[in-house]
Amino acid sequence: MGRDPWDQEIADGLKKGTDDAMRHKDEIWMAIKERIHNEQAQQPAEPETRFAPRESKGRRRSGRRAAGWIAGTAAAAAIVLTVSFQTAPVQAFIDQVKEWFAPQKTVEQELEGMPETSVDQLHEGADYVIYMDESRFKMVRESGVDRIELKEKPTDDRYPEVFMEISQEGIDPKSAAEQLQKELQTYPKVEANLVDEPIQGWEVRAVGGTGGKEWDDPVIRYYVFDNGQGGSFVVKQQYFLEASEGFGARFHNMMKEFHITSHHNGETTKE
Amino acid sequence: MVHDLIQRLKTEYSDELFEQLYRLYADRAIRTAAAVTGSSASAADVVQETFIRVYRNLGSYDMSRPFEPWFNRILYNECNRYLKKHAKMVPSEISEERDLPSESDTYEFERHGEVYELVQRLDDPHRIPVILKYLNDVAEKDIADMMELNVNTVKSRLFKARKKLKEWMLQNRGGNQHGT
Repeated sequence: MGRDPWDQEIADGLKKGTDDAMRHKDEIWMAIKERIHNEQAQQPAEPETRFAPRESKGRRRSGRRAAGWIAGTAAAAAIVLTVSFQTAPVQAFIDQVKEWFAPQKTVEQELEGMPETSVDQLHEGADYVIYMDESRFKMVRESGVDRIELKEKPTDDRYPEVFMEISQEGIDPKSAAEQLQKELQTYPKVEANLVDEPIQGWEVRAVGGTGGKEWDDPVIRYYVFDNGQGGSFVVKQQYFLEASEGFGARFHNMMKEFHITSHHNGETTKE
Repeated sequence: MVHDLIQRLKTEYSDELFEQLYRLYADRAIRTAAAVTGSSASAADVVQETFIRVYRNLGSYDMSRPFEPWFNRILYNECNRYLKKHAKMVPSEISEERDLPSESDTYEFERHGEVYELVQRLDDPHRIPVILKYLNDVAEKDIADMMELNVNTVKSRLFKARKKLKEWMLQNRGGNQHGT
């Protein structure tokens, strides 16, 4: 089937404009091959899972990935302080967290093509901190789940729910991600991938409803990552398709400032 | 063919097989990344990163789903990551009153071509769907999925972008005919 002449002109024009980039094709392949070889050299292949994604538990990572985890997931340098459980329980821990992280942060972000500035407040949860725009969201804590939801929910019930939930599971991230992927199998679209942004770990993403045809199709995005204590953080973001560039982008940016503050074996660690 | 290739790669990696996969998708990936980032060197970085992610994630790739949308999504995410990292300054809206390219842009027109340069003048919400559709042949529903948009929103953006490009081009050509 022939293309409209104007469509063809756009296609040809874009092709012409990118001809120059094609000269790098072989160089790119050589660079990819070299990186794969480096990764393989750093992590000896296991026979039955030779190509399987690596475990996201920090201890098992290769040096390169481990370095990325520390730099990408939390603050650049790990600070370990000893806290006595007998003399300095929760309040002292919280006080230390407050010292490490600025109580508020000015966040500039581009949402739906428009720049926006907000002053986000630090919120401490169990083993983590996150910054949140209190003019827009509130934190509700219930049964081990921290839920960030809209401060003022729309009165019009046509709008599907928008929220982010943070919880922890006692299993490793890969198993938790696989479990979530199974749970979402009834959704028209589901995929799981290892990601480096906004946090290093597994992303399990599903689109419900018509699978992407309607403005109000629910979008569910999980981030599952090592909690440093043998389990996983599970962050569930839920919004709807039309809100992807708005709330979806807000949640994504909030996760960039998610920091683990482990508290175990008598030590408080900011990673 | 792709299905078999990936099945074999999932079982056991070899440079030869992965290169076959690379050769199948490299052209469109490089062109798309070049158009999105506006630079051949940046495109090389984006495409390299894309294939490294494909390598790392093939283990979790669901063979019952088509490969191309999965691959395109990784490519799109990498392009997006590049744009955010480099905070590419683009106009947030297309200004109806925007001046047409001045003489200083003529060199760029000659280098990349008029259509390419005009596409680069669109804002990202319009520019990216145009690149994905016209350069990478991504279906509108897949663009919607990648960008997490309603299909109708994608259609509307493509329609507006196309209209604007046509308008700019006709105006430009008209201008040239009248003495430039």
